[in-house]
Amino acid sequence: MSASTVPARELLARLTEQYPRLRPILRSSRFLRNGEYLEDLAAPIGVDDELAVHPPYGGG
Amino acid sequence: MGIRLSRAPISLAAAERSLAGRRAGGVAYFAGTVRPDRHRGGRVVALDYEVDPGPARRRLEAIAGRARRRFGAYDVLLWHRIGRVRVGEVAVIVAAACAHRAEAFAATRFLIDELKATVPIWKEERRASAAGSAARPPSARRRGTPVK
Repeated sequence: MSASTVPARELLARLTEQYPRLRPILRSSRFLRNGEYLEDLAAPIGVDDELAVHPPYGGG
Repeated sequence: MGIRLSRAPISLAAAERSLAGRRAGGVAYFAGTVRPDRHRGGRVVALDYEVDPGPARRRLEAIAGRARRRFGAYDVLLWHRIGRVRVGEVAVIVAAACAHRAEAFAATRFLIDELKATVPIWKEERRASAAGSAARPPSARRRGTPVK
């Protein structure tokens, strides 16, 4: 199990490496694993997990 | 308690019917509408709202619960439009039924401020430009991951 997970932080680092323009957006984003807000970016993300990136909210 | 994420129009009249305010001495409603703002890219004709529905519902319910406890609200209501909302239409309604007006006003203010800051809803402006108001609706409806 642990072999097939990656800390959220690492996944996001890979993402910004690939898409540098995401960096400022990710800096002000919230993150969710399978619909639950992540308190800690050390949280493990598995292959079947969904990691959602929420840029700043704009409702209303 | 009314939580609603609606693709159909919402109205204050419907909100009034839905709110259980029988015991209340003060009921306050707030409606947010789409403004006809002007920007360099042209006049805004509509806003396209997108939501991450699961987390949004849970956050709306949490806000409602906090408003009930903090202001002793008998009932509260949080409704938000999703999808295309044209200028002049109501995009959001919040309301609180409390014992007195002071709590009702404060609770309503709390509801809209918390909604704007903590609920995963996003908007994109649609403008009247060279393409006219034939601007396309949001292309893909992805489940749960509104990453752009």
